[in-house]
Amino acid sequence: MASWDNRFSRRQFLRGAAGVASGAAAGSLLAACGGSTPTSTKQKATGAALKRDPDTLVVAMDAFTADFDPASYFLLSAIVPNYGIYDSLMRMKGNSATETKPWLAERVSTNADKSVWTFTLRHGVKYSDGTPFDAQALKEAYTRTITANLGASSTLKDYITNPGKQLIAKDPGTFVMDLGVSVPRFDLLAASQYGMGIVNPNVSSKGKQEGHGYLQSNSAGTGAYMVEKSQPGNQIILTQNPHYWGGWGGSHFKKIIILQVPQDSSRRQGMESGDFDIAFASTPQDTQALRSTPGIFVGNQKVLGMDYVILNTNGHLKSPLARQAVNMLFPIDQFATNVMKGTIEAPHSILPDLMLYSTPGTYKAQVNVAKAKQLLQQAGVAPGTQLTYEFYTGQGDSAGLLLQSQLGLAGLKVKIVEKAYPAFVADISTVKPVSQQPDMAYWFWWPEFNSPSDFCFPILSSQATPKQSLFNGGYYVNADVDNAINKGFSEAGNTSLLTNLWNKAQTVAGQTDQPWLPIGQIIDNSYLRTDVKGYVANPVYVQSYDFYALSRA
Amino acid sequence: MGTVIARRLVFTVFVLWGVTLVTFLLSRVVPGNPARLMAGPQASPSAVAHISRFYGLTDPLYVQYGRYMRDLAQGNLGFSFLTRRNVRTDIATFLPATIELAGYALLLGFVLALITGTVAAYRRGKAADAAGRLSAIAGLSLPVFWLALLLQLLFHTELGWLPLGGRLSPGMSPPPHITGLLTVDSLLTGNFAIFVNAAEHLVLPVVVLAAGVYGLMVRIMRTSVIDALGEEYVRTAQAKGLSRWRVLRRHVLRNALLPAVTVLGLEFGLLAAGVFVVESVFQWPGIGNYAFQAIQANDYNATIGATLVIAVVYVVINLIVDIVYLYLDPRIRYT
Repeated sequence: MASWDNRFSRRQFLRGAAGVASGAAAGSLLAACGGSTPTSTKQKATGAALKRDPDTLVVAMDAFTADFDPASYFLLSAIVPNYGIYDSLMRMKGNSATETKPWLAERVSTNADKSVWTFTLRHGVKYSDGTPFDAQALKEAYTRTITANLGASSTLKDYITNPGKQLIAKDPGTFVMDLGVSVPRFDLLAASQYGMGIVNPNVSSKGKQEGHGYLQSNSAGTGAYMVEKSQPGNQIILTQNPHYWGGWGGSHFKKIIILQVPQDSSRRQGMESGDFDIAFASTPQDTQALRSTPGIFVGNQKVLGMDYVILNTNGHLKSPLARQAVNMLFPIDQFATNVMKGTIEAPHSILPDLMLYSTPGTYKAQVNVAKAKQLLQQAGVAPGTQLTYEFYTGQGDSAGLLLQSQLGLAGLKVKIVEKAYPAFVADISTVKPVSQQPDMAYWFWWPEFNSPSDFCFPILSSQATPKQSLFNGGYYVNADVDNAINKGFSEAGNTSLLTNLWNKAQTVAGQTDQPWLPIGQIIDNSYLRTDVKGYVANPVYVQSYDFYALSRA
Repeated sequence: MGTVIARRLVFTVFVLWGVTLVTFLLSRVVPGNPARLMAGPQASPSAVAHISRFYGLTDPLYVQYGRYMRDLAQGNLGFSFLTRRNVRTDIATFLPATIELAGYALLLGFVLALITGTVAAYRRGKAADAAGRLSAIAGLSLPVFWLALLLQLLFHTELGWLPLGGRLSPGMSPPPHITGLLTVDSLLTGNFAIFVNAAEHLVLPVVVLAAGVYGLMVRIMRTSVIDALGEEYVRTAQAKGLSRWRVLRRHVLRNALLPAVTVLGLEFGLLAAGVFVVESVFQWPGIGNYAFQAIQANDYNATIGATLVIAVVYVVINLIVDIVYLYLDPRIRYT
C-alpha cells in the first residue's frame, strides 16, 4: 500500500516528507547536498562505539504518525511503533512472503471450502492494563475496527460486512470468522499489519469516537511494548508491557525510542556516529556508502512494493503502442544499478516478485530506440510532441530526468512538473480535464497483505480511477486485468483459474497494453547496527521491526 | 506612551485577523484532501468521506471559517490531522523549544555583533575592521542549511564533541515543566546534568541561527558607532576628560543602539524563516518544524495555528521594540 507520510516521509522526508515529509525547500536542498556526506575515517576503521544505554533501542524514522488506534492507522509511518504494540491472530513467518504462523491464535482450522475460519486463542493473554484477552474481546475489537469506518476498516470489510453475524465468540478460547466465500489464504489477511491489530475494547468507553481520541496518545494492546510517551513530530517512547504473554526472560530491549529525523544526511550521520540503532534508508548514495561501513548492516530484502510511472491512457499515450514505446525507451537495469545504486531491483512483472501468482518474465525491459520510434509513428505520436511528467518533491525526480533524456531519443519532449505531495496526490486521484492530467506520473504501491487483487485493485481496476477517488490515475481499463482482480476476490478458492487469469493479466499488462512503466521493485534498505541481533526482514512487513525479537549482542 | 501602546494593540488585532483570513483561504485553495491524507491511500472512499464529514471539511468555506473564528475566540485552534491532537496542545509543546532556540540565537548574534561592530568602528580601516566586516558578510551569505550540515559533520560526526540534534539525548528525561525552556527549567530544579545536556544540544542550532542575526547587526552597529563617534556630543564628552569606556557606554552606545534595536524586531522575521530550516536539520521539536510539516501535509489547522503564533510573536516583539525605543530615545514620547 502506498503511504503518504511513509514515502513522503520515508524517502523524501522520506526520500521526502511525511512528506510532510521530508521537505520542500530545505529537504530538496539537503538531499542535494547531503546525498553523500563523507564518513569519518576513524569510524570507518573501527565502527562507532555505543555511548548510551545499551538496553534502549533507538530508531530513526524520517517521519512517524502518532496514531495508536488499529481502526485508523493505515500508514507505514504508523506501523513501526504499532507493530510492537498490537498483536494480530497470525503473523508472517520469518522472511517468507507466503507462510504464516499462529500468533494470538494458537491453532487455526477451516471448513472444507475455507469459508469459515476457526481460531483457537492463546491462553493467558492480557492487555497492557491487565485486562484478560478472550474471544469476546476480540469480537468487540474487530467490530469496533469495522464500524469506526476510519482508514483501516477496509481490510476486514472486504469480507466482514456484518460483524454481529460473521464474527462469533464461540467460547472464551474460540473465535470464528464466517467469511461467506471461500478464502483459502485468509491467514495472509489475518497476518496483515493493516486493520488487524487487536485493541482492548475497553477503550470504547474512553471518550468520543469509541476511544479514538484516547488512542492518539495512548496504547491498549497485548503486544510486547506499550506507549510510555508520545510527542508527535519528535519522539515516541515505548516501554515493556509487564503483562506480555511472551514473558521477559531472555534478552530484550527495555525501551524503544522512535525519533523523527527527517533529513537523510542526519539519519546517515546518526548511524555512523552510533546515535541510532536502526534508521530508515536515506538516499541511494548514502545507502551505497553505508554498505561498506563497518558496524552497520544495510537491509537487502526485496519487499512487495513497486515503483512505477503511471502512463495516462487519456492523452498522448492513449494507444497501447505509445505506452509500449515508452517502456522500450527506459533503461531499467541501468536505472536500478547506476542511478538507484541497487536500492531497487529491475521488475520482472507488473506484480512484485514473491507476490502470490507473480510470474517473473512477463515483463522485460529492452531498450530499442528504432522500434520505439516505429511504435510511436504507428500510434500517431509525432516527433516533437510534448509529454508531461509529474512527481512530488523528493521522489521520482531522477526517473523523470532519465525519461526526459531517453524519450528525447525518439524525438519526444518531456516537461517535468514537480508538485507538493498533497497536490500531486490530488492530481492522480481526482477527476480533472484531460488537458490538466499528466501524461506520466511517478507513483509507488504495496499491498496490505500478500494478494495480487488487493495490490492491483486501487491502482489498476477500471473501478478505481479518479472518478472513484482512487489511484488508477492513468484511467487504465483492461478486461483481462479487471477479470483477474475481480475473480481474485470472488473466486479466491479456485487456484488453477486464478493462476491462468493472473498469467494472462501480467502478460497483457507487461507486454501489450501497459498501464505503467514499472521502474523498480522496492528493497528494504533499513540501516541497522550490527550489534543489534534478531532482525528478520519480511517482504510483506515493509520496513517493520519486531522489537521483541531484537536484542543487543 | 500608554496611548501609543493602546493604538498598537488595536492595530495588532486587525493584523492577526488578517493573518487568519489569508492563511485560511490560502490553505483551502491549495489542492489536496487532508481527509485522504489522514485515512491513507488505500482507504475506501466511504472512509475518506466519513472522515471529511467528521471534521467538517465538506461544509462551505464560509461556514468553516466562521466555525474556526468562533473556536479561536474560545482559545480552540482546532485539530491537527498530522499529530492527531489539538493544535493548541501542539503549540504549547513546540513553542517553548523555538523560543529557547531563537532567544539564545538572538542574544548570541546581538551580543557578538555589538562587540564586533563597536571594535570595527573604533578600529576603522584596520585589520580588526576588515575582519569584522568579513565575518558579517560570511554570516549573511552562508546558506543556513549548508552551514548547519557542515557544523554537524565537523562537530558531531568528525570530532564527536556535540550532539547531532534534538533537545536532549535519547532516553534523557526533561526536567519538570516550568517554563518549557530546558536550560531554565533544569537550573530551576537544580538538575545540572540536564542543563549541560540541553546546552550541548543548543550549541550548533543556536550558532547557525545566530549567524544571520550577527551578519546584519555587525554592519548596523559599525555604521551607527562610526556615526556616533563623529557627533559633537561625543567630542564634548571626550574633551571633558571622561574615560574612553564611559564615553562609549554613556554616549556612543546608547545612541548607536537605536537603529540596532529597531532592526532587531524586524530581524525576528528573518529568524523565523531560518528556524524552519534549522529545526528541520537539527530535529529540533519546535514550531518551525511543526509548521514545515503541517504545510507539506495540508494540515489546515496546524498551518493556521503555527502562522498565527509566529505572527503574534512577531507583533509582540515589535511592540516591545517600540517600547524599548521609547525608553532609549525619550524624544519619541513627545512626538
